[in-house]
Amino acid sequence: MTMMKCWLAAALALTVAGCAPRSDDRDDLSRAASKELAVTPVAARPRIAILGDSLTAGLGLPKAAAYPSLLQERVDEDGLGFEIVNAGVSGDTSAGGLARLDWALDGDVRILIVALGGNDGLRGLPAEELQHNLAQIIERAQARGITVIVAGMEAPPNYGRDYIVSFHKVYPALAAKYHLAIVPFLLQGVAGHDNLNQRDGIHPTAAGARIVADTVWAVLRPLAESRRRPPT
Amino acid sequence: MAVRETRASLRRLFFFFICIAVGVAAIVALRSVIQSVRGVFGAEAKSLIAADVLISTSRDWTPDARRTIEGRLAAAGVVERTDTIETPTMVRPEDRSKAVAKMAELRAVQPGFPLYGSIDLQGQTYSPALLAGHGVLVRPELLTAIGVAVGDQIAIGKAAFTIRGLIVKEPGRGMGEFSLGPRLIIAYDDLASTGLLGFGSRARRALLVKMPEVGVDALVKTLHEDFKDDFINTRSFRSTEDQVGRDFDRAENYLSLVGLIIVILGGIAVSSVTRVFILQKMRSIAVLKCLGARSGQIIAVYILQVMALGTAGSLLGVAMARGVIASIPLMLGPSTSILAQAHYGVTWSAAVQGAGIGVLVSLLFSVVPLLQVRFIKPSLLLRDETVRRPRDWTGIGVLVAVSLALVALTAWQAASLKVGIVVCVGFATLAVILHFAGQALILLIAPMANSRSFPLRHAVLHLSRPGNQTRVILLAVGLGAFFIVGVRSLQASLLSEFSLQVAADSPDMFLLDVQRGQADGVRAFLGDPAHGAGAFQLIPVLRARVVGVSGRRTNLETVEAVRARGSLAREYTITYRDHLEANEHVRDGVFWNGPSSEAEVSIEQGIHDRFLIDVGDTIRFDVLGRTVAARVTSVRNVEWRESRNGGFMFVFRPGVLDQAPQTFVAPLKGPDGAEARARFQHDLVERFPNVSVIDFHDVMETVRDVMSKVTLAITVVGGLVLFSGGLILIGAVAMTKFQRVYEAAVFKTLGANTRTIARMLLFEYGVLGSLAGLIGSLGAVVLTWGVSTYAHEIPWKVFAGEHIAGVVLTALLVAIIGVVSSLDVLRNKPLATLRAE
Amino acid sequence: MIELRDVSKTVMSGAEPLTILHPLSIQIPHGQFVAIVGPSGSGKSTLLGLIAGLDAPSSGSVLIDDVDITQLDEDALAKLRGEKVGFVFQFFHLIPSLTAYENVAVPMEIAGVADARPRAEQLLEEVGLTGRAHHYPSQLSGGEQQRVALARALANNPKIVLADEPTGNLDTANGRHIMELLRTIHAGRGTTLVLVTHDRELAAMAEARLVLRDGRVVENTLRQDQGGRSE
Repeated sequence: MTMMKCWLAAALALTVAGCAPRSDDRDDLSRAASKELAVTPVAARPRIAILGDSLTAGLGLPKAAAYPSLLQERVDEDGLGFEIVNAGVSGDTSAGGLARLDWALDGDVRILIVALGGNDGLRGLPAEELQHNLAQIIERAQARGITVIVAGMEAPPNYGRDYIVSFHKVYPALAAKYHLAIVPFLLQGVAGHDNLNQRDGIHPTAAGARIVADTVWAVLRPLAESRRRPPT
Repeated sequence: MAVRETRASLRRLFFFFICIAVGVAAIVALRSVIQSVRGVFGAEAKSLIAADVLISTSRDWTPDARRTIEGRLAAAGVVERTDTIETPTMVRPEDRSKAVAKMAELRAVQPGFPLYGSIDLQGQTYSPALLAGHGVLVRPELLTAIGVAVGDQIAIGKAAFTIRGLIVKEPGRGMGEFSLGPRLIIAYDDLASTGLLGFGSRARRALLVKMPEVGVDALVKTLHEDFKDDFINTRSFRSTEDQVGRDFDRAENYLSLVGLIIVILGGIAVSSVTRVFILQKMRSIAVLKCLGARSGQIIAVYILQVMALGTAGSLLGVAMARGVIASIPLMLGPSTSILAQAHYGVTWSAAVQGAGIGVLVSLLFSVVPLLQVRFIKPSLLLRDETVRRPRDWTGIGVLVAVSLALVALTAWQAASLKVGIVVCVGFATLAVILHFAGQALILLIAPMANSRSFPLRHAVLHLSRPGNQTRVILLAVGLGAFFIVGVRSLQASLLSEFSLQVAADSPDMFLLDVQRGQADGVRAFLGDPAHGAGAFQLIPVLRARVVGVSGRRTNLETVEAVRARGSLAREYTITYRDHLEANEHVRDGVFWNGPSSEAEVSIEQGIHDRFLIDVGDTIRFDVLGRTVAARVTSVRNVEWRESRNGGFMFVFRPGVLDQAPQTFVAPLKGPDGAEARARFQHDLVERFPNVSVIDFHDVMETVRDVMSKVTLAITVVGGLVLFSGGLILIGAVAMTKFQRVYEAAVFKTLGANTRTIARMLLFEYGVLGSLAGLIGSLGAVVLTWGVSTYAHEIPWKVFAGEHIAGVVLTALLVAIIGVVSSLDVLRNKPLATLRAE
Repeated sequence: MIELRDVSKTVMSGAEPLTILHPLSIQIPHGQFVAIVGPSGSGKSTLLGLIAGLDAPSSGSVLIDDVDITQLDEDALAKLRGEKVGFVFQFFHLIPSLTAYENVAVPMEIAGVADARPRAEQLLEEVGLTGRAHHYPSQLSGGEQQRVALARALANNPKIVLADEPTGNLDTANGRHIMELLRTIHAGRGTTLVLVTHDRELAAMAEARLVLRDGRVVENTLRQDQGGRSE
C-alpha cells in the first residue's frame, strides 16, 4: 500500500549510503501521454487542495501523471474552473500534514481532500494518533468554510487484524462525526495488483493513477459542482 | 690460493641461493596469506547475506518463477537451500491488559537457516528447536518497548508465541537493510498460523542458496536474464550493490594486484641473481672452451646449474615461507583472534606456483646472458677484453621468446591475458623510463665529476662511465621502490576508505518525521545527557520538483522541457542551511553567509554536469504547489561516501524556505548498550509518538566487524610486501657488490683508505637510491591514480607521507646496503679479492 | 730498506693447515733491484703481497723503513702504500671505468697531490702513451694496459716498486718493453724494485736474486748483513 519504504530509502540515503547520483536516473518511469499541468500564476481561480503523501505527490511518476493532475484535466473538461493544488509530500504522515495545513490552504481553497495515513500505517503509528491529527485538520479547514473530503487508507494484512481494524475504523468515524464525503479507500482496485503498481509494490503506475483519479473523481465531482460559487 | 677461491665462490653461491630463496619465499608466503585471507573474506561476505546466492522478491512466488528457479538451481549443482519470509508487523503482549502494540520486523526461517554465519543469542546457542511450537526469538529492545520478558507470550497476528531467547546478532542483514522496529525470528512453518500473509500483504520472500563457488556468477547472471522483467532480485555474496560489497571487491582487487606484484618482485630477485651468476662464470666458460667444449654443451651445462640453483633456492624459499607464515599469529598477538578463520600455512598451490616461478624465472633469465657464450673466445683468458657481439638473430629470437614467456607467466598469474599484457607493457615502459632516467641522471651529475672531493668525483665517474651499473641498479631498485610504495599507498587509500565506515562516532540511529513544532523538544531531548545520545543534528527537509531552468547553457521554459531531461523532473529532497558540511566543498561560485529574502540555491556537481546548469542560472522549483525561483550561487561537490550527515542535490540559502512546510530528520549517535538504546527509543516515542526511530546499530556493528577484519588482513599483507620487498631490494643491491669489490680492492692497493672508499660508495649508491626512490614514488603515484580511478572507483588521494618516506627510505636503504655489503672488502686484505677476480 | 723477520704464511686447506711460506728473514736495501724467482706455487707472489701489506703474515714482521707494517691497521697501510709503494700486477688491475690518464692520477688524488694533472701527463709520456691518455682500459692492448699500470705505480714517486709477473700476460715484444721501462725507472730514480717472475732471463737482469721452492728460500744473492746465505 503506501509509501514508507521509498521515503525511508530516500531519507536513509541522505544519511547512510548517500543519494548516489547514479540512482537518480531511474524514475521517469512512465511515458504517460497526459498533458502537463499548466503553471498558472496564483490567480483568482478557486482551488481544490489535496493534502496527501507520496501517492498524491506521484512518487516515481512525472507530476503530470499523478492523480491530482488527472483530476485537473477532468475539472477543465467539465469547465468547472477550479485549480487543483497538489499538496502531496512524499513520506508525510498525518502529523506532517497537520503541520503544513496553512501552507496548503493558501488562496481561495474551497474543497480540501485529506489523503493521509498511509505512512502512519506503514510505520505502525497508533491509530488514535492518526484519528486525532486528521480531526484537527478537518476542524481547522471547516472553520475556514472549506468543504472536506476524506480519503481512506488501509493497513496491509501483515500488520495483523487488530491494527488493521483499528486503522480501518478511523476514516468512517471521522466522516460520520464531521459529516464528510468519503472516498472509502484511495487505492481501491489498485493496491495488490502487480500490473498497476511500480516495482516497490506500493506506488501506482500511470495506469494505476488513472484508476485512483476515477475513484476520487466520483466523490469530488458533485461537490465541485456545488462549490463553484462561494457559499453565500 | 685455489682453496681461497673456492671458498669465496662458495660464499657467493650461498648468497645467490639465499637471494633466490627470499624471492620465492616472498611469492609463496604472500600468495598463501592472500589465499587464506580471501577465504576469510568469502566467509564474511557470505555471512552478510547468509548464503552464496540470494533470490528474493517482494511479491508472492509464482509457480512459474519457482519452476524456472528450481531448474536453474538443479543445473548449477546447488548443495543446500532454505526459504525465509520477512514482513513488518505489529506485536503486543498476549496479556491484553498490557495493550501496547509495537511495530516489529518478523523473519520466518526454516531449520536450514542460516547457510553461513550464525544467529548469536544472549547466553545460549541457537538451534532450530528453540523456535519449535511457536517459539520466537526477539531483539532485547522489544522487551522494553512492550513490557515483556523472556518466557512471556506475545501476539503476532492471530497466534501467540513464547519468547525463547534474545537476539544479539543475526546473519544475512547486510548494509542497507534497516528496520523500523525490533527484529523477531519465528519458524517458517508457524507463519501461516499468524494469518499475516494474504492479499495485499507486504512481505519479502527469499530463497537462500548454498552452492559451489565457481558457478555463482553464472547462476546470478542467468537468473537476472530470466527475471529481468519480474519483481525478482538475485544477488550473490560477491555482489557489489552496496558499500560493503564494493569494499570487498576493492580488497580483492588489492590482493590480486599485490599477488601479481610480488611475483614480479620475486622474479626480479631471482633474475638478478641468475644474471650475475652467469656473468661471473664467463672465465670458467672460456676455460671450458679452451678444453674444446662446444657452445651448446656449455649452455646446457650452465642451464642445468642454474636450474639446480633455482630449484634448491625455491625449495628453501618454500620452507622460509612456512616459517614466516607460522610466525604471523605470533607477531600479531591477540588481535589475530578476529582473523582466527585464516589458517596460517602454506597452501599447496602457492608452494607449487612459487617454486615453479622460481625455477622458470631463473631459467628464462639465464638463457639470454648464456647466449653470449657463443661469442666468448678462449683468448679471454689471456686478454681481459670485452665480448663484442655481432648482430645475432638467434639471440633476438630467444629474447622475443623469453619476453613472450614472461607475458604468458604474468598472464597466468593475473588469470587474464589482458592484465598480463598490460602489466608487462607497463613493466617494460617503466624499464624504458628508468633507462632514460639513468641517462638523464648521468648527464645531470656529469659536472660533479670536476668536484674537488675525491670520493664524490669518483662516485660520479663510476656512475657515468661505460660498463657502469647505473641502469641495472636503477631498474631493480626503481621497480622495487615503485611496487612497494605503490602497494603501501594503495593500502593507505583503501584503509582510509574503510575507516570512514568504521568510525566509532558515525551516526547509528536516525529519527524521521520530526515536525517543526517538535524540533525544539527533540533537540532538548537529544541534548539531555540523561538520555545518553551522542552527537546529533536536526536537518530540515522539504520536497521539491524542478519546473524550469533559465541559464546560459540550458533553458527549460516548460515543465515538459524539464521532464524531457529525465531525472531532473523527479521529486528532490531539499534543505536549507548557512554552512557547508565537512564532506562538501565549493567548486564554483561562493557559498552564502547568513539568511536572505532572495532565493538562492547551491547545486551539486552532478546536477551541474548532467544538466549544464551553472552559477548565475535560475532554477524554478515547485515546493508544495508554490513556485520558488532560485538563483544558483554555487556548485558544490559532495563526497557521497562520507555523507554521514546528509548529501543534498539542492541546498537553499536560509530565508525563503523557513516558513515552508518541512519536517526534520536527525542522524545521531545513539546511547551505548542494547538496554539503554531500547529505553531511549521507548522514551522518545512516548514523548513524540509520530517520530519514527530507525536503529541501525547492529548493522553498523556487523559492517564494522567485517571491515576491521578486512583492514587487518590488508595490513598483514601490506606488511609482508614491505618486509619481503625490502629483502629483495637488499639482495638486488648487494648483488652489485661483486663488481664493486674489485675496484675497491684496487683503490686500496693504490692507497685509498676505508673512509674514502666508504664515502665513494655512499655517494654512488645514495645518488642511485635517491633517483630510484624518486622515480619509483612518482610511478607509484601514477599507479594509485590508475587503480583508484579505474579499478577501485574511489577518489584518488596522494599519500605524501608514504611517497616521501618511499624516496628517503629507498635512498638510505640503497646507500647503506651499498656500503655495508662491501664492508668485508674494506676490512679485508685486498690481495684475496684481487686474486679471486 | 725492506726487512722481513721470520715471516711465514699458513692457510687452512679444509681442516689441514697448509704452509705456503716457511719462516724466512731477508733484508732488501734501498735502491736494490731484486728478482724473486721460482716455479708456480713456490710462494713468490705471496711473499710480494706480504711486502706490500696486501696480505698479512701468519707470523713474523715486515718492516719498511723501520716501521713494522704488520702492526698497522688497514687505513695506515693504505696510506703507506699510497706514499711509498707502487704495485704492478700480472693482470694489470686497472679500473675499467676510468681512462688511462685517470687511472694514473688516482694515487695522486688519493694522496691529495696538488699538481696531479701535469704529472700524470708526464708519466704517460714516460711510458710512451701520450696519445692514448683518454682511452679506457678495454680499448688498450695488454702491453698498453701494463704501461698504464706502470705509470700509475710511479704516480707518487714511490721509493719501492713491486711488480708481480708484470710480463706474464704479455707477448715477448711487449714484455721486453715493460722490462726496459722498469729498468729505466730503477736506474733513473733509484727506486727499490722487487720483481716476481719465473722467467730466468728477466731474473738475470736483476742485481740480486731470491729463489723460492715450496715456500723456502733456496738461493739468496742479496747483499746480506745477516740471516741469508751469500754466494
